[in-house]
Amino acid sequence: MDLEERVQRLEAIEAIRRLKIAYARVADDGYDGDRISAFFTEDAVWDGGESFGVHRGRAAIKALFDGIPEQISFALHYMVGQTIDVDLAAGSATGHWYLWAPMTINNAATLGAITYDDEYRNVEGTWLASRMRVNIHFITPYEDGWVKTPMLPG
Amino acid sequence: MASLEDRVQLLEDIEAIRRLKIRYARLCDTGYDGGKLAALFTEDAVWDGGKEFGVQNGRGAIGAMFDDMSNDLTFALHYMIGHTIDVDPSGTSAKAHWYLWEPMTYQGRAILNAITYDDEHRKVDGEWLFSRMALTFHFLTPYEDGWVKTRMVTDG
Repeated sequence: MDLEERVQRLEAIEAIRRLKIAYARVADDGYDGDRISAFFTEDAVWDGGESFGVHRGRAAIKALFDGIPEQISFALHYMVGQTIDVDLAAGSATGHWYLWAPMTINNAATLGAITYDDEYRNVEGTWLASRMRVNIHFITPYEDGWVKTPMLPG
Repeated sequence: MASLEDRVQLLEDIEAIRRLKIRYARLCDTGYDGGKLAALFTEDAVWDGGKEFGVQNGRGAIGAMFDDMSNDLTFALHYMIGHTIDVDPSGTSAKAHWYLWEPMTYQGRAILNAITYDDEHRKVDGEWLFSRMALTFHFLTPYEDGWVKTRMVTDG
């Protein structure tokens, strides 16, 4: 692989890492649907599984996030331990992340542990998320812990 | 497009600034040595802990603050996470944003601390330093309470 390609790969990894952190920061700043959906491709899928449902397309993703602050009044998304694999020729990439999220849900202190399986596409020079799969390990009331209550009801 | 040399320089600067923040964390977690911590800041640096922890102006004041910290703060782990680092085109200054998750023992009590940082950096004689570190406290709660019951232990 030539030097140009090696540098391009490192630049792509950094750009995708920043994209995920930007997503975290907008989420933590009140989940603005317009700002957060701009990190996704038009045809992106946000897949929250059985708990949070599957949301297809930028408009559906915007609507999802605009509705979140009704329940989640505070969150900090600690995005950790990324694995990012880039296919430069295809202009696509995959990412795996860990998330640690202290939150306030319905006015109760809550701890969330999630991993993500992401897919990304380079659209006119900008990396965007084309798929975000959210794997929930626990979302537990702070006072309970994940053995007693691994998943909040509802 | 920037030259290959400039593009590699940018990636190296980001990594050097990331390492600086982790070095800061490790020095905090191994006893808050004021002299070593102050050396990570420019002479005219500002450490801004807001209304909770005050503002320290200059390397001397910052070192003195850290030397006092280990009296009450007997244990801490600074998990520095999720950096966004923007290096100025000049290559001699930068801005950074970080998340911190910090379990600590303060005056014998288990405390959970959640902070975000807005940092500013300058490159001095080839070395990246902090010229400003501003802390935003999201919660600083006794472990037994959680952040809904007691958002800031300093309020109590």
